[in-house]
Amino acid sequence: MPTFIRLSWRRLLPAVLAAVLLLTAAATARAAAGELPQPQGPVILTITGAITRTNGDGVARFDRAMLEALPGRSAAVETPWLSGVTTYEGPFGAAVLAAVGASGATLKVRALNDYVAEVPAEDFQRDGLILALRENGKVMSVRERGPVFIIYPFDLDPALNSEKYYNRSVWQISTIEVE
Amino acid sequence: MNVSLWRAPGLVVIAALALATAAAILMLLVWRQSDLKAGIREDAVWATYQLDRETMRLASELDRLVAGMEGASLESMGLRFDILYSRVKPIEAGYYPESFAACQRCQDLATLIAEDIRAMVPWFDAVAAGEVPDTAAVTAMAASVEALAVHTGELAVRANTERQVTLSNDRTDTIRLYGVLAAAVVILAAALVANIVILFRQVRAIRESELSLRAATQDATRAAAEAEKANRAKSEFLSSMSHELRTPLNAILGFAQLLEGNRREPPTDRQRTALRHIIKAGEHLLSLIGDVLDLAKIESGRVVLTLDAVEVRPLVTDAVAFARSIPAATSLQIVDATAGLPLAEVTADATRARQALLNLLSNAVKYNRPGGVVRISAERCGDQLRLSVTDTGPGIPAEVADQLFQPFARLGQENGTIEGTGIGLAITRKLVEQMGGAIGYVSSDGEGSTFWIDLPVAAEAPVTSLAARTTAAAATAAAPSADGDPAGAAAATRDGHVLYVEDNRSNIALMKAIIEEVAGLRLSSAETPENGLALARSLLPDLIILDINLPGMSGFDVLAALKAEPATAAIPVVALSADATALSIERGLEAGFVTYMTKPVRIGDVKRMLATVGLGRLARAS
Repeated sequence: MPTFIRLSWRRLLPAVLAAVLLLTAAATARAAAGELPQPQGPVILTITGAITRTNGDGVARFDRAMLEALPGRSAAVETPWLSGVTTYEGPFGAAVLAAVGASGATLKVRALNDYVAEVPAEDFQRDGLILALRENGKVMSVRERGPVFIIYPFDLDPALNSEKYYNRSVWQISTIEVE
Repeated sequence: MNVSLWRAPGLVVIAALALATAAAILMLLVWRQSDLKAGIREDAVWATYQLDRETMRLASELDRLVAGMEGASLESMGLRFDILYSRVKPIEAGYYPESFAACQRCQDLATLIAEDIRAMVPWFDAVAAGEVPDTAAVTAMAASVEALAVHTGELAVRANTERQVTLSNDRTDTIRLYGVLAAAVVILAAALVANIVILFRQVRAIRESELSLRAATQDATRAAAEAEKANRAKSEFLSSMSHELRTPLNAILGFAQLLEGNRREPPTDRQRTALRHIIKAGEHLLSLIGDVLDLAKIESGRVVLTLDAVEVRPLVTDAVAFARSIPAATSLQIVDATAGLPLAEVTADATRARQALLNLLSNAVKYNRPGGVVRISAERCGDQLRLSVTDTGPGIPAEVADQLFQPFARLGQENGTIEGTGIGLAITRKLVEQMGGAIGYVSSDGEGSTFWIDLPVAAEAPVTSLAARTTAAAATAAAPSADGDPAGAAAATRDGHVLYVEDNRSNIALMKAIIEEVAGLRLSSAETPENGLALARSLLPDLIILDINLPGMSGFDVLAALKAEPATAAIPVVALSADATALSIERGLEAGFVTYMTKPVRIGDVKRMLATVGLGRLARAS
């Protein structure tokens, strides 16, 4: 202890100052990230990477309510995976990206089963692309390919009916990394 | 062109074929485009693979739980099951089952797997609700999932196999399609090649026809040149014929005239009658020769017409004067109905128009009754001026109408009393037609005929047709009347020496007789141009008469040689030639001959010539 005490304040000062500065910087950063509210329920989607608005340690975490609060639409589409027309509801991809201030060109979309698809960010800017949360009005569980499912606007642009877009139509999404 | 006409359907058929082929290719491609199933099938195989994989992962998670490994939890086991469960529906519904419609086992397996997984739901739901299963239960579930994995594995393999079969079938289809496409392309290419060949042939045919056309043109040009040559040969033949025929006639007529006019030894009445027959027949022969030559020249196109605006008034006046001077006209009344009327100008060759009109008048005089009337009138018919000559002769029978304008058609007068060559109307018609005019007649049997010529009225009235008058004057000089004494021959009083260069001895003898009949003149002669030039130099005669057709040297050359020497340059030189064409006369006068006389030599012509140059003491009426 005496040895410790012998350490003068002068000598400690730079370290203290540095610590204060670091804390201040961290606080400032936290303040900036604080624009995105904290999730209240279970987190169903995490966005990382080149984003400016976060609510965690460099990540943006969304619960169902946060996502449902974003502008979106209901899309009645026909997919290769289910018979007939299915109605999907959820926020626009563009709205989700805007909410986190994403600035990358590529989105690495990861599913619960570790399936990863690279989706160009511009796809999310397409009119009508949604991150579906509900199927035929019902919240999608993991068993129903939930909780989040990228639905391209097949109803608006029939040209999207190709393997390229089917492969990007990731279901059971857990995280999106903006690059 | 004919070539392209029969080839055109070929081109059309080939083009249609090419179009049909292109349409077929397009349809095939469109059909191919709609084949999206292959992509979906790929996705279906992927789905079965994913199903198998998720089953394996669940089995592995259960195994880890049984083994009590770190990180293994009931929670993550539940998530694994949920994920697996989410894979069931796609293999039951959607497009995937369709992709394996041909594989019954695949469908059976899918049903089996879906049933098995659904059967596991209560157990996993209970665990999720908080029930903690014992190891045996987990082991049992792991075994169930392992059993399921056998099925999912088989499904994945079968789906893949099915895809391979479909793929290879597709490939076969594709190869067949490519075959069809290749055939279509070959057909298209063949059609194009055929088109190119046809077009090439057409181009070649066109070029060949062009070449043959050019060859034909060359042939035509050559033929024209040959015709021209032949024509020239014919003209030369005619010219020499003219010379050969006129020279002896010259002598016959000349000596006959000398005998008839011999005052020292006058012929007896019988001799005089005979001489008149000789002279008359000779002159007839002469005019016949002239007409035949004229017709031949017109027919061969050698008569060059100079079309000018010609005043009709002097033509008519001249023609009437001529008609009155014909001896046979003494008993006829010749009426100029145009007198006092304004006459238009016509586009014509003045000399030839005059010749045509004279021919009509001469016929009207010849074919008339004693005390009859010849009437000349003019009338404007549109843009033509019609000059009509009416006689009171016997008229022309309708049956000979078509022979009227044929050469040598004397219409029964061959043995009659009226003289003529039978060529006049033929010549007249050709001349009139060449001048852009027309000729015709009306006749009533026993009452007379009216012959008319139409000549185009000149577009503008030119100031004066000086050229026409000049030509007319030259023509007068060229064709002096046979009967006339020298009209303006004032008595010449100068003695003189005349040199005559001529290769024909009888012509020399005739000329000597004529010249020496004139008091105060004597004649020297030379038979070759060289001698003629030598004599001209030594004698320095007062007048030189040159034959144009001399051996070795033409009269023109001799004239030039005479003019070139100061001593002889001033001596007047007269041409005497059998070549009576207007062109030759013009050339002669241009070359410097004071007069151009044509053979046969007539005493009157010679005397007039002498008067012109002022030689000899001629009585006013000889």
